[in-house]
Amino acid sequence: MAAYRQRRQKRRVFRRRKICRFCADSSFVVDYKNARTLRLFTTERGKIIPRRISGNCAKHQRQLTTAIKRARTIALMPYAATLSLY
Amino acid sequence: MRMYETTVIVNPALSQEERQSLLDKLTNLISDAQGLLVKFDEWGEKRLAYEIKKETRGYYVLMEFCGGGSLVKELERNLRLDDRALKYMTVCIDKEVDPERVKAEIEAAAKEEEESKPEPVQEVAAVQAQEDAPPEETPPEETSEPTTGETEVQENHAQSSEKEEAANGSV
Repeated sequence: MAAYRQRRQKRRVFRRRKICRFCADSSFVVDYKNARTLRLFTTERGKIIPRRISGNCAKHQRQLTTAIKRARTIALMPYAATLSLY
Repeated sequence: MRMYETTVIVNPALSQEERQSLLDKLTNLISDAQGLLVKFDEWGEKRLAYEIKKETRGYYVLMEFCGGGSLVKELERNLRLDDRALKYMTVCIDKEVDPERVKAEIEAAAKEEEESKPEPVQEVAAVQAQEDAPPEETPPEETSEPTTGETEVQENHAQSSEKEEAANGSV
């Protein structure tokens, strides 16, 4: 039991606290026209990075997904990118 | 009235005159329907993230305007028929807008640009404009942040140069 507990504690130590970048910096705004910042939240392939990895709060992740989808509609961002595009 | 934002991708192969005729047509449509053109921004030629009608580049134009749903319908109908526009997208920014207030805001902004005098004068203008104060106050704040950062960097440079001088002096 003692060994099990230790292992559990160790695992907790490695977790890093994730902060929503849009909440931390008020000048960092979600906008579908600004493809450069949106690109930070997509993979190389153009997929949207999930909240569990990016650490965004629910509100901003919602805004972000609509923004990325809008940017895709107007060809500022790819629906599916080949790796050579980046 | 509602506030809309339309992005149009114009065929980059067109000459400037042909492009201008299309854009004039769109702005005329807005004014004909008693809409109010708030912002007209040409981004210029950009690379498209994917091919549209076999084109890899496109000329982006952004229009912000106040108007009703019928205006948007008419505008999109025209864009769909016109081969000069590769693609378009309309987004509703604000559901309730008072066109007269927006007009006043635009005029106030234009006045400020014309005057372009030091800060105290701009503040007085903002107080006079009253309601449109919040959107106008925000840009200076944003701009002030990076400038402070630059000054810090400059200071650091100055300090480092001083250190270097001191080091040279000691040697």
